[in-house]
Amino acid sequence: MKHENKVFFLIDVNNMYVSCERVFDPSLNNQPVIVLSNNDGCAVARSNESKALGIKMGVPLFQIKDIVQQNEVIVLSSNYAMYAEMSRRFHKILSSYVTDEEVEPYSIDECFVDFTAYEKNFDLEKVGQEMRQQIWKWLGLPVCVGIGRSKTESKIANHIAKKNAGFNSVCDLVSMDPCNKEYYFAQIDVSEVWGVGRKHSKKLQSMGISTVLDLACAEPREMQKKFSIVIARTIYELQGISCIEIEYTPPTKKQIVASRSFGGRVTELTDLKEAISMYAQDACKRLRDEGLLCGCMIAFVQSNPFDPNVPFYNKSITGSFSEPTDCAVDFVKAATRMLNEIYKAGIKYKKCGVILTGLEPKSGHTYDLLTDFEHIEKKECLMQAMDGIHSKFGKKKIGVGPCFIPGRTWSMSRDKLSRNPFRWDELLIINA
Amino acid sequence: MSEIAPSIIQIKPYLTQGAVLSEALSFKQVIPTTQMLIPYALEKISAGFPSPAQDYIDKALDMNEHLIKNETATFIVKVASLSMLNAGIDIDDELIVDRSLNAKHGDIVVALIDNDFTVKRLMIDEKGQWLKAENPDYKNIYLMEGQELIIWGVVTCIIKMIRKS
Repeated sequence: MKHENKVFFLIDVNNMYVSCERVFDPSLNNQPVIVLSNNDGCAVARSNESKALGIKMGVPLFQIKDIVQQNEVIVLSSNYAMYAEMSRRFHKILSSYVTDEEVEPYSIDECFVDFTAYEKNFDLEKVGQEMRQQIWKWLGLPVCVGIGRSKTESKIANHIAKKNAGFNSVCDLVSMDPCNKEYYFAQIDVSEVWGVGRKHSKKLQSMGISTVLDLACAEPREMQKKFSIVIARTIYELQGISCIEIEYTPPTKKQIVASRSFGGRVTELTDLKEAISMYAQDACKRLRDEGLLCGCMIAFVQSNPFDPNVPFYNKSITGSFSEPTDCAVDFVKAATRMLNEIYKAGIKYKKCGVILTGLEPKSGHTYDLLTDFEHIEKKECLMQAMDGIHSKFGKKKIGVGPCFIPGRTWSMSRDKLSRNPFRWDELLIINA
Repeated sequence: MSEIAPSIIQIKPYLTQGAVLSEALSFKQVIPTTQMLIPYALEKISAGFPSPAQDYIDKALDMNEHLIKNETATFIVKVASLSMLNAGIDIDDELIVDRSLNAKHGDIVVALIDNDFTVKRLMIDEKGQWLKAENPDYKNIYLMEGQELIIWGVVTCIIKMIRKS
């Protein structure tokens, strides 16, 4: 499945979360800004100004308190609902350039476009510039565009566009002179290559392969013996031979994770039970939206991994259902029961959650001979009634247990949350 | 030979089409807006035979379709200023803003000056671009040296709730 004449675009929003915040709050422009993870724990997005101050990705806020104070870094909570809507629009604009089968939304802020069919009729760099300008004008989001003969090459092209201002945010490796291409490849660390990662890059470095160019010049079959087929594919891809296709359909979910860390430290079993029953219901909602049944549930609890004074407590337990289910009552019952097993008194808990696995499509499930269908039907009626109430009156109007009553001791803290301009009661306000 | 080959080719796209269709159905799209359809009675004076089934309730009114031409680039903002009162924009009115449009002379725009939002009428004349307030109590905005005017979006519609609750 190797192709030499493919064309891929990788479009990527620069500092996505910060850029989204700036669209609706321009006073953040040109200021150092960071966006924190859930519960205001770690910096998960940084403006260029913050990067310049040496704030690293994923660093916990308490470790950078001094930098933040001295430089008046603006600290924001993450507003995922807003980012998701901006992301939807970002992907929608890009899908207007090709057919649906040729777009792959790779993540909230990245998108692959297979442009092979149109190559001959367009100037690729111009198309890239057009995409960039359209997304900037329509959404106010700055993007970089990388163009290559493979997905891996388009990723590297995107990296080059980001790091070299001269490209005006669009780098087209397809039409680039091979000598220039070598020059840029020789400057980029091999760990930047898509799919290489830190683990492999150490081993590569020990073999004298330290730049993208070194890897691109390696012999794929030799490398396959030393590593795996994945690295061989990566080498072909860097040489402009496409081996990885666009995946335009999201693969069916293998598992559903619902967890969050707490606003404060939680020590009591009853509080933990309330929290986990909410996450179990979140997970159930997502399971039902996908039309799946769950056969197996994992419940876990954690203390704060960053606390140097007490040992990290991290326990999980797995349980399976006698009959695969999509009923919130079953999940809450199971989660709270499992929690009894892993709870230890005297621990300051920071996080708990559930993972649903053993998923299968509900429509394809074969029930066994002894199934009590009356019981299943009863539960389904109950769940449909709950779903109906949720969609009509909101997710928090009805639930199993007391978890949706406001002011729980374990609820999330998001102190610096911006408004969501896509809600009627939080619209952007123009006051001049 | 040439008669056999095409039938295979005909079958192939049909097969892949089926696959695409079923996958597309399982893919849940996020739709940010709800649609409220209002039945619309279409009165038509026709000279020929009446066809009541076709002429009556022919089309439903969809406010989104009517008010929003480009969903992807449309944002809704709320006004907290009286500077455009004479253009019909009052406090608490909501504006539909389309960022995909190119602002013309005379358009009402949401603009940024020194990273502050403002809603004004865009004027383009021999002095260049300036912003006109539609209320004598408010000043027009002329750009000073080094100041930049950024058009955030073009206002296409005012949503005004006239029955105060």
